[in-house]
Amino acid sequence: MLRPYSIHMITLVLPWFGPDSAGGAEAQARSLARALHAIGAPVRVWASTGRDSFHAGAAGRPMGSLPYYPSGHGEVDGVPVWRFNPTPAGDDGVPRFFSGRPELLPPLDHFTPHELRLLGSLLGSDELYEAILAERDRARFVFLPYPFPTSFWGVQIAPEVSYLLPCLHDEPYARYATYRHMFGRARGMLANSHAEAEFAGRLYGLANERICVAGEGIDLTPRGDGASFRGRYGLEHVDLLVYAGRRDESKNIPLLLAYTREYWARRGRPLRLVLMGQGALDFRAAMHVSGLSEIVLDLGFVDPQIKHDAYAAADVFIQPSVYESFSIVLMEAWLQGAPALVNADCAVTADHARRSGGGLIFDGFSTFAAALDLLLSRPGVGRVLGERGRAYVLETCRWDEVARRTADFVLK
Amino acid sequence: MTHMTTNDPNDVAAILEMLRAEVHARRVAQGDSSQDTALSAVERELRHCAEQLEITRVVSAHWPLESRSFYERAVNLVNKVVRRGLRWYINPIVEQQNGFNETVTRVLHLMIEAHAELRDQYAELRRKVDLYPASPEDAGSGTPPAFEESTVPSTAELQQLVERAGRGEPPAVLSDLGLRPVSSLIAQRQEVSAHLPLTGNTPLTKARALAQRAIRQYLRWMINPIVEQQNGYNASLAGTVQQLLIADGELRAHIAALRARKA
Repeated sequence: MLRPYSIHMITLVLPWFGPDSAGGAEAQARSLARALHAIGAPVRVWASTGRDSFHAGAAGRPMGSLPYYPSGHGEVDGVPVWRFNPTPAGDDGVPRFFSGRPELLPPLDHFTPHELRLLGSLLGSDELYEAILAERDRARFVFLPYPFPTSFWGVQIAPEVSYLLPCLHDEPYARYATYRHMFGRARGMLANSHAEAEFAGRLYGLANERICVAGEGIDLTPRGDGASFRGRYGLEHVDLLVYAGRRDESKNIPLLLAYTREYWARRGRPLRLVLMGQGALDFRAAMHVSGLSEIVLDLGFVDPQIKHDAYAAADVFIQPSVYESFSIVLMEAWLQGAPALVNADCAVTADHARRSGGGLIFDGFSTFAAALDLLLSRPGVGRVLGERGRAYVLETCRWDEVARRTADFVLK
Repeated sequence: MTHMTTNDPNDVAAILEMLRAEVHARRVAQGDSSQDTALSAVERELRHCAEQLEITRVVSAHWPLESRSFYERAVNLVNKVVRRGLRWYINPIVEQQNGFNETVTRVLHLMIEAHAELRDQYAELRRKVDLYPASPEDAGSGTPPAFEESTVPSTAELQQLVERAGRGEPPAVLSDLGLRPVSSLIAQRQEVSAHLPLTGNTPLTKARALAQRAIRQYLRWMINPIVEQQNGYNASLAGTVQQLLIADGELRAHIAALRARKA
């Protein structure tokens, strides 16, 4: 049902946006914009003309600053998009936009030169900042993700109408004085998970009423065919462990491989660890994989249907990563009924596992092994956990509900 | 760390022998009983390599200049003045190299320890194969807790069962995980530069930086070939470490496969 919303325009502001733009925040913005539009909320997107952070910048300029999309007005999935030309900051990391408006500047002496240089090294746009200033009486800005100058300087220009969708997780940058100041100035924050909200509250001293756990949605329509996946790869009579995502150090893949290798050595069960994800297998992970071809099947990037088939076939979906602000792949696996095994050092996925009842938590090899013993020897237990996870996803990951929570919070 | 006081090869050999004796005495004092056991030739060589790494790790640009005659004293005086005047140029190069050497030495020590652990695993495995050709590996129960399957407990109760069962699992020594950041650490430090930025904030320091850049430009013929050779060696070392890591991963996989077949 469409609700009447105020005349204020929800304006999603991020460095890159478009059908060809890769990245988690970019994908989340596309889905959120589409969902807001679908429920009748006034929404538009402001972004740069660049493609994404994986593509080069001009010589001496930040990554992703080379023009890819045309500047000016555009449209994606029926949502109006305005694209601004990137411009470099000054040598001190401060955009030239502020040279004529020092009253808008934060207390720069509270920040180290290193922190300001980081901001200066990332993509920003004076045209964008001009537009924020001009529209601050008519818009409600949602800035994502948190580390970029588009978010930091945008909040300084219009703090009373600024909201952060930070995609925050426990990393060194989160403790910089610049970002602490930004979170303190913004009117509110939209969290992807309860754990992210709790972390932000603890780290920045934000009051509960300034944080909304809007969550994140996923596509709830895919249906995986487990038997098809097992047949395609000859995995009919093995225990199947599945991982999806980047296959590198940042996602803790070397730990996953070492634990799986040790579990296999101790138990001798016929098992396979299936890895799926874009890009090449990182060397540091690959040096563990060499010689493990008997138990590791690295599929690389697969068609989305094959990915869902793999989830459906999994005896256990394993998420070893400690840096997650939501974990879309965990939700996708639960949607297909796979029981999950997550890392205790990741507050977000551990919280999902506890709230949903859809997964177990490991805090070292011993609990990793004990959890696998339970799930692989008692398939009925795994099925029940998978059903609990699926119910949790169906209840919390609907994009229309996420959009409603977002609009209600931002336009109140 | 003792620095070389002379370039005489005989003296250098004597110093190295003295250092080896120091290292050996330290091990004995720490009660390293493995000194008394028979070590394989590979293990002895690895221990010797580890000692050599410590002895040769630190590069110094300030070794004492000894002189015996009046002429030598005069020459050394000039050399000391020149060396002091060139500290701004030479010291950063040496510091970079020492940073790299420290990183690689630490890595190689870790790898030598990891290799020793692997050999122990392999020896244990072979012993079990010889004594008990068909017996299962003694590694935790592997048996999940029992309960009525008709009613699956809450996930919180299952989690408690997992944690209880986990306490019975023998610890896993996975020293290869400690080697994970090695490649990037070495890559960050392996390239030594003889052209670090020389800048100034005041007219005086700017003028000094300009003069230093001119001197450095003149001395390129002497310094650059040295740095290039060292960087060539560093690259070879980094490549060797990478190969060792791959070989380590493969050996661990093969040992795991043997253990899995025995389980």
